Amino acid sequence: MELWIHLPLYLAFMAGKKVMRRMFIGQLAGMLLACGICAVAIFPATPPAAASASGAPPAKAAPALDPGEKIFEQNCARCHVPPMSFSPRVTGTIIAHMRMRARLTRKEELQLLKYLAP
Amino acid sequence: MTRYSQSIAKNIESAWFAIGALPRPVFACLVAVLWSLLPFAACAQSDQNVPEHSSAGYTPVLSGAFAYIQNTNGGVQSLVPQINPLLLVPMGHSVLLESRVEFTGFFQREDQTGPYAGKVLKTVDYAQLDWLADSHVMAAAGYYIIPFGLFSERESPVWIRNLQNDPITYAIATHPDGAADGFQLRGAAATLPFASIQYTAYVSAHSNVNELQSARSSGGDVSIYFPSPRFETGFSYRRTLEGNQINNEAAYLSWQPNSVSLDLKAEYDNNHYGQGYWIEAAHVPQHFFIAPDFFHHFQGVARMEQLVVRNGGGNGLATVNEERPVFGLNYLIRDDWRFVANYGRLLTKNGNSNQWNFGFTYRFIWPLWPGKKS
Repeated sequence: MELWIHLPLYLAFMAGKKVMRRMFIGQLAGMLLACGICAVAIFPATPPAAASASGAPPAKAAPALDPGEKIFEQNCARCHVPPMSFSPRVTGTIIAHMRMRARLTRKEELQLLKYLAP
Repeated sequence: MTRYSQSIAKNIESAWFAIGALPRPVFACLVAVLWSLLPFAACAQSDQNVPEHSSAGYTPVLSGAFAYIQNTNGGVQSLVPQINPLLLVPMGHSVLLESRVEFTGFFQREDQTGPYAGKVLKTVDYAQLDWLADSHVMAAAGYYIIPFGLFSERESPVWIRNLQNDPITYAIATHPDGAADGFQLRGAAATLPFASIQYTAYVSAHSNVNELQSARSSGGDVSIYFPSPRFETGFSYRRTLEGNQINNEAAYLSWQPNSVSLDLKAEYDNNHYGQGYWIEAAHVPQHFFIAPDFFHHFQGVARMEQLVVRNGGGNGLATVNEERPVFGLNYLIRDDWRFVANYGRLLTKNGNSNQWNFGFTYRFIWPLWPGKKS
């Protein structure tokens, strides 16, 4: 067995051993993922607020969200920037398309319609 | 089970095997899944009674995007303009015809120094008829995008993807066309206060029709989404039923924490020709300490990809192991305009290369018919 296997991970990483680098990166990614999951479990989720985008801006504390807005934040805004202008006459068509993509229920579709085209 | 229902089941099964679409175990699994969904479908009928108070109209829509990307791959420059029109034609509230086409120009300098020359490629991404049958059951028939993993269905449109390159594992299960001819069922199997369980099941036939080519296959996807922490994890499976009958698997997760402006996505893919993963993080600085109004339009992205080939690789994948870190910086001028820039370095034993992309994307939504105005 080679000597570098017994080195601490960070020293092996600095020394440039490719296998150890992969191990280090893999362990780092695993730890980050574990920390993230723990954070989700520990910290209470706050209701999401207005603007979200594919960069998933943070949710701000809001008094009460419209059910349709909540569905938009929790589903659509995971991939989409909220539209600045959205003609009501195309809203039904767009939401039907997105319901198919995002596998939403009929109830969620109706709440979205009421939020985007009241 | 009564003799009558046994007879019906036997007839359906024999008809199914007559077209040779599925082997017996897969058929049995599919029937079991569909039967298990029936109670949810029955419960869902009550949701239909939700009152509608909306000014929403159902007019045909032409949506999609324009994009222009200047790509430099290993020192070779390409100009790639794209038009991706998406046609949506509703037929009432529950039936929707949708189709997306790509017109992609690909222009390079002749002999590296001459004038730019190239051609325009046209491809049909999908053309399908949707039936929003029930609160928890939707059906689609036609030429549809293979619902495999996170990237193919959700992240691939040019106006949505954070980085312009496909992940190096993208060809797993989606090679060669990323779409299939057949039908699929999909929806939310169960909607609980804290989670939503979503499913997709599909079968496809072999087709050599130009622009609608597909392989005989079957598969499905199951995911669970926790809306409060905005965390989703899922599993996809696809088995090709012709040629080298191979299994394809994917596991994925997506997380947009409420407390941090972060979008995390990761996917692991595996099949006979290779396995690999990609993990992507995107961040929008909402509260930057200098000029926050300016910087909150930026989006920083980083993605790590790795592919380990098996059995010589190929079939859409590379033939040697690859790794690629990619970094991107996007600027959202408005909700529909976006400048994109990203850099990746492809690492292989055959040599490393830099990959650059610069350009913009523009998303449009145009009504095609006069409709209800509010």
